[in-house]
Amino acid sequence: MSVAELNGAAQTLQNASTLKSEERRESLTFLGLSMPAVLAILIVVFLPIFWLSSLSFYNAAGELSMENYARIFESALYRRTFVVTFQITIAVTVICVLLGYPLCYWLTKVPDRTAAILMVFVLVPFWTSVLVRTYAWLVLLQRNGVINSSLMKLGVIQEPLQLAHNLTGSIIGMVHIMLPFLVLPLYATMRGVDTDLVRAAVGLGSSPRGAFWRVFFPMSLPGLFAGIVLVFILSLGFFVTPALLGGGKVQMLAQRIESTITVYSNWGAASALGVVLLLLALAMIWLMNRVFGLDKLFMR
Amino acid sequence: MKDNVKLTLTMGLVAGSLAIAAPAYAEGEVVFASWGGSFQDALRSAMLEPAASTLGVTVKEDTTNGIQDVRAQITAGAVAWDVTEQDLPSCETLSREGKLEPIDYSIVDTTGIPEELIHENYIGFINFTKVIAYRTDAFDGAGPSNWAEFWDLENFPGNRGMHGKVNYNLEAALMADGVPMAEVYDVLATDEGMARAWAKLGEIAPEVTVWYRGGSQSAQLLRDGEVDVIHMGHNRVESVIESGIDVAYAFDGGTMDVDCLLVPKGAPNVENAMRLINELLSAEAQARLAVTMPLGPVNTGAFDTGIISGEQALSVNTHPSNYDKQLLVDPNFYIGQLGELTEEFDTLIQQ
Repeated sequence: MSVAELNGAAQTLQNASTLKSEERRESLTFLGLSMPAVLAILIVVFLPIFWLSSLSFYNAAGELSMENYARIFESALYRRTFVVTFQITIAVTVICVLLGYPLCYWLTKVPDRTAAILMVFVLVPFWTSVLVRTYAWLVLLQRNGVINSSLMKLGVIQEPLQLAHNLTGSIIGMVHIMLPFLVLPLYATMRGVDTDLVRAAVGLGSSPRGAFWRVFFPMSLPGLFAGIVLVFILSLGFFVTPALLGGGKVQMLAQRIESTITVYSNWGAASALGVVLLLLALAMIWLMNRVFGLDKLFMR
Repeated sequence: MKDNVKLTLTMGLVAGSLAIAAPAYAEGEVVFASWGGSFQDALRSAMLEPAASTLGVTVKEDTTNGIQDVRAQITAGAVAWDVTEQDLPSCETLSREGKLEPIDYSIVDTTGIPEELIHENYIGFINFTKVIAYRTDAFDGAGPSNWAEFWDLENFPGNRGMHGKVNYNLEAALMADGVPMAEVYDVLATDEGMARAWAKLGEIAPEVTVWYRGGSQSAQLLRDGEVDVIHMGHNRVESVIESGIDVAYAFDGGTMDVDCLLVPKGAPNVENAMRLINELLSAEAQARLAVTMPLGPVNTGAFDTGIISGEQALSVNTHPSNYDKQLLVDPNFYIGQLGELTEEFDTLIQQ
């Protein structure tokens, strides 16, 4: 495209129409090439979502009804599940930001070689199965686990801390799994920030702290926002980690969907929850877009 | 999905073979479906292969995921299974829906099988018990061994583990509250009784460390010392003990559940199905399974066959010296209200 545009500027008016038709043909070619992917997405994403949503409007007897949605809003259990889901999601997102931002900033300060090696420590867990990492946390956090037994041997604590089988354990496990989703886009953005601008600010009399907050930080925001959205949306639908580290007491939306299917053998009730979860995720994206201006991230 | 494909294929094959094969061929086989895995391997060597040679028929096997498989076959009008094993509530539900062939008691011998496990359309097969098991190191050898003691955190402090589904927990709560075992379901049948059970369960709920979901998880919790006392499958407790951990348990107040054998309505080989059921319930077959896996034979005659050694017999849940100490779960309590009970239970345990 850009080559075509550059050439176009240099061409005579006579050639412009030829170029235009070529451009059109080219875009058609690209459309044709992307058709398999577009079709695949239509078939494996949109069709099932459509089918799922339509199921949610049928009750167990197979009649059209809003029964499944009414239950979600009437029952104390479902309300509590939504509250817990959001509590965990917000906690995980905040902790990821608090841990991830300083980490990324530090990575931009160390020599490239060191940064590359340190990135491996972020990426290796990222490539490891969620289930494996969750079980690893169980081994670390449980009553006779590595952390408790070490602290007790050192005399730091007398009684083991309750780190697993509760909300704390679930959040620790989820933060570990979600952190790379924040670090990767944020680090990429920070690397792109022109550090000469920070130096210029200091040179013009700003304090280093002021230069960071007024020059570097605003320029790193697009990456931070992208990371926050990723972490938030992925956390909303978490299943394995709270199921294993929550001791059966921490029940997020995805777990509620699973138990709804196994107990009621009713796809409608579970579909309704799925639809609500999907709408919540979309609403969050819309809201974050309004607040953070995400669309600007993708238009350079 | 894979199972559905398999199911469809099986149904197609069976339908096809029925259409083509002569009746003489159909007489020579019977199709049996159970839960698969190492459990079905044990069934095969202890029961199915001996039955095949005794009866002179081919026993074909399939696996089931539960009640929905039986329903699907009957609804599709292509019943592939002659005999299948299902849990008690599923058997009772299918029976009420009129989806079962009546058991032919002129062929099936019920000698040695407790009366409460013999029903018109299905019959008990294997008993499972969840018992209170505790780590002896956590209680100086004398841990909680009944429900009142399980609930007693003052005299028996320690981490608790309980089954993470409503099943068995309301019964346990009532027994902890002093209701005699024989009256548990009578009390649960009343609204006041139900409220009493929920209130008692609410007492222990905040103190429960883990509400486990799977049998293997319960074994891991006990083995790692994550819990000090737990209500879990007795066969799993035995395997933890075998691995060298000091664990004690008693059958008192244990919750006993049963898997049943049934013949789906329209099964292709009903007569062979009855003959197979008779073989599966024989004292010898039941005893052979009990020595492979510590699961309870429904036929008490199994203990007189000499196959189970005297010492081993005492650790089998259905041995006459243990049987009456346990509460036999009543499926009728759960049928029709499992959804509501589950919601109330999940609300209770949700943090």
